[in-house]
Amino acid sequence: MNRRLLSFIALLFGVMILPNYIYLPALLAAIIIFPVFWEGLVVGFIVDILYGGGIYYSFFSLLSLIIMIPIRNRIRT
Amino acid sequence: MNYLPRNKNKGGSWKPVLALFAVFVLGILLHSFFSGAIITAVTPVWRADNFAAARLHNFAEFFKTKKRLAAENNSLRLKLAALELEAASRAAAAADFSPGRGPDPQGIPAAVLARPPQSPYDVFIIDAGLRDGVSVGARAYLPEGPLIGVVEDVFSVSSKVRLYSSPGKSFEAVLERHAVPVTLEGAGGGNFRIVVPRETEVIAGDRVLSADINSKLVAIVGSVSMEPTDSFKDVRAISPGGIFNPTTLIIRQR
Repeated sequence: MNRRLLSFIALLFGVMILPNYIYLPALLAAIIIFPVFWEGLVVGFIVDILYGGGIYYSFFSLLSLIIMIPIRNRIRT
Repeated sequence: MNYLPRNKNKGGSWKPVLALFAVFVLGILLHSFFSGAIITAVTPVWRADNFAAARLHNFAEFFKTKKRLAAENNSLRLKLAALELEAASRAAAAADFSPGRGPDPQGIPAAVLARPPQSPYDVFIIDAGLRDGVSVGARAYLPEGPLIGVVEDVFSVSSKVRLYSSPGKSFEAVLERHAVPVTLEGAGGGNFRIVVPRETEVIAGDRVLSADINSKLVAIVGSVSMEPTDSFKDVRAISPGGIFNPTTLIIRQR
């Protein structure tokens, strides 16, 4: 299994059993580290489905992912 | 000389953005139609986590006698406050009896599966659902008596309880000292904000009760701040008993 998939699974379990001040920064870190970490969007949705009524954290993930795309491209070139 | 073309990908970053939006739309559909199924699927994980945490807690209790005594003291104080209110409520009901408005029934006990800070919102997930007779709009109480929230979603074996301290949520209540009606505004993390006219007497430790015939403790005033030029007092209140510790709730229809 690669690190990306392992991180996704760890984040999913983190959402279920760890405090939010651990799994939310970990989610942000994964979005920054992995290129187009769309799995982060799924994790954001899981947070919203399990604990909330809105789509705040999924929207936050989407925004972070979109912001990271041009930043990564600029760093690469 | 032969140079490699630079910025070959320039302008091509719209494809991943489109893919992300597709996942987002899919997620919204999932959120709308399968949230109950997902929560039901995760419930065994929460149960296992709670079981393991309880075992670990019992083991750790040997080394935390002082902390345990403080928690027990707090719990007993809350229970005393709740019993005082119930006694007052019973006396009022006896003086002016009206059918169907008496003290509350026993309610449905439910174990808390997930609570803040696990949940980033002020939400509890409890292990009682439709099968146990829980319905949307039912009220959630701490075992010691204080009222803390309302059932927002009900699934087959679990329910979601939204605390009154959730940001953006407001609740009509009464300041016990002079029976002043106030609006509790949720500030997150078990905190409330109340704005009262500067003439209203409020001090730290005052109790805030629900504005119904069976008054229940909802919050305790923590601090009061006011500038000399202000017309209003800014009162901060906290949920009694805290929102990070409860392991059991009582669900009642009112």
